[in-house]
Amino acid sequence: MINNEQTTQKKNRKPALVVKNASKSFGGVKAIDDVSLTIDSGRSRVMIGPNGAGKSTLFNLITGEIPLDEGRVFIYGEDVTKKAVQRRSELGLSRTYQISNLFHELTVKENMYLALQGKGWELPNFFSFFIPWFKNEKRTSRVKEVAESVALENKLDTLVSNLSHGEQRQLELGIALAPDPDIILFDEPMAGLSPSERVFMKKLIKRLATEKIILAIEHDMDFALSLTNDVTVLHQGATIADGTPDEIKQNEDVRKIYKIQNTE
Amino acid sequence: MNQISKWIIYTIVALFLLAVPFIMSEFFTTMMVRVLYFSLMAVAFAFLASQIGLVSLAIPAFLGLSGYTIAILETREIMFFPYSAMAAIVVVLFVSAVFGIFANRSKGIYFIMLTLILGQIIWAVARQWASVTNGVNGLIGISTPDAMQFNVFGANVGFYYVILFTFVLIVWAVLALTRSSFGMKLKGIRESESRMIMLGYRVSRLKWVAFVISSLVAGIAGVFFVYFVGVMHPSAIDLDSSAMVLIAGIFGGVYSIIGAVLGMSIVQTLEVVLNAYTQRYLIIIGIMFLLVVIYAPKGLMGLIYKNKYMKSLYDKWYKGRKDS
Repeated sequence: MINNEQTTQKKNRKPALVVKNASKSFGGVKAIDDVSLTIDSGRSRVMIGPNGAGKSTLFNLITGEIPLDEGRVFIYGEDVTKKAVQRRSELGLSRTYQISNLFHELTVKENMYLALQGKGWELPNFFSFFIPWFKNEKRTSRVKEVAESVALENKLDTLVSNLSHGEQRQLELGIALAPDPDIILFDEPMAGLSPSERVFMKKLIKRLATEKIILAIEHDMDFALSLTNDVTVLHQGATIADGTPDEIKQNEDVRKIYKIQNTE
Repeated sequence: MNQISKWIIYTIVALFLLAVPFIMSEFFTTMMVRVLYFSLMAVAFAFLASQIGLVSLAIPAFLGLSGYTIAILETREIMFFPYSAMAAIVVVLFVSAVFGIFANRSKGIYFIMLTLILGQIIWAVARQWASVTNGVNGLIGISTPDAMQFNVFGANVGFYYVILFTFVLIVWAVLALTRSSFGMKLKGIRESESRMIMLGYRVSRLKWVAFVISSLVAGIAGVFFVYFVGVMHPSAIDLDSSAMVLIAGIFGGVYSIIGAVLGMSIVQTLEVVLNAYTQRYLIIIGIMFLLVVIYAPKGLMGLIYKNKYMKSLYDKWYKGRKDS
């Protein structure tokens, strides 16, 4: 318990996520060029930028799914640049994928059960090898909680491959939320959703933004700018603007990029 | 069908299996033993294939490793049962643990190739390291230990009961694994490795454990194989054997362990039965295989699960109560 309190204190003092001078090239193309980013505890940030700006690549660098060429990543002050994805997950980092990355031949319940690994939901034990997974009461009750939070409580026994696209996006979010993370990276959570599904998703993310630290990639400008006061604009792998929604709207470079995008 | 009739069927099957040496011919009992140790290989194969989606061609190699260890130790009179069998299992665990470290970094076709290479290395060593393995002539004269040769009602059928008991125990343990939390994690890896990593799972460690478990089962099959046949020969672990395990797996259904056992039983039985009529029995098996792949891509078990009652039985066993 003492240990827990100490970590909580530590978490409150340090910035949640720091990216320092990150760079990444694929072949000759510089996907990310000297990007720095700081997210303080209790604040969220939205990242916008045209297609191919390197937003998703930056996410992969933060989670560690792609190694950095240069630069460093800190989570709550711990240098995780060389650490495995699993360690970053343990520190409370979670993400959603732009293209749903789910366990397709398993049911919703099983998907969420797997997502609960997070922090200490189960102690490793030889005998647990022979106990059916659904007899783990602690986890199965939490599965219901998470399912309700993403409005999938009636689909628990449905195979993921039989869910609609919108439901799969909800599950995508549910899996990211299940381990009770501190920092969530949203990679276009509303891609391909119908208007009614968007309403639900917007509400959910807005509520989450008050509880968790969110870094979101979002193309819906109005929604993105209503979510938080910290906005980063990425273009061709570099940060071209950083500030409040108003500042971003006034920024000449940003206007230029989006105008060009619109006329094309 | 209700609970009672289900138990009646189970009892009939159990009684039949127990009574085989007395009600069936010696030929049939021998064939059953053969089916049982080959089925253990099928279990080892299907465990990896169905849970993590890894197709291993090295299953017979681990049978060979344990078989050769026993054969070498016993023909040179270094060790005898049960120590030779223990040594064989230790060798299998060690080799699979070391090889698993490399193999679990790969997946899909690369994993198949790596296990193919391992299988071929062990086969080549068995063939060419003549001073130890006696090369293509193989090692002969390994006798069945007394512990496996006891009499039942005056008939010398102990071996059948030992292998039947071990087989049931192993299948039970493997099935229990597949529906444990561990098995669920393996299925997660099968569906999306990247997501599992992002959720914080030590994916390569899980894959490694599964690989060692699978190899252990194949190694146990090797113990029975060498004591039953009494000969250890390179042809037992060549590419044909790997292909046979693969074919049996697809025949019965790659996503089911019971299916793989079923597939192996059919392939082995067909081989023995058809062999009595024609030397071209492989053509018949080949045609049947073709039909299965075209008309039942999920194998025989896929056909069985199309039956609503069988499906509900499986769901109940695997997922517990519907509302849990």
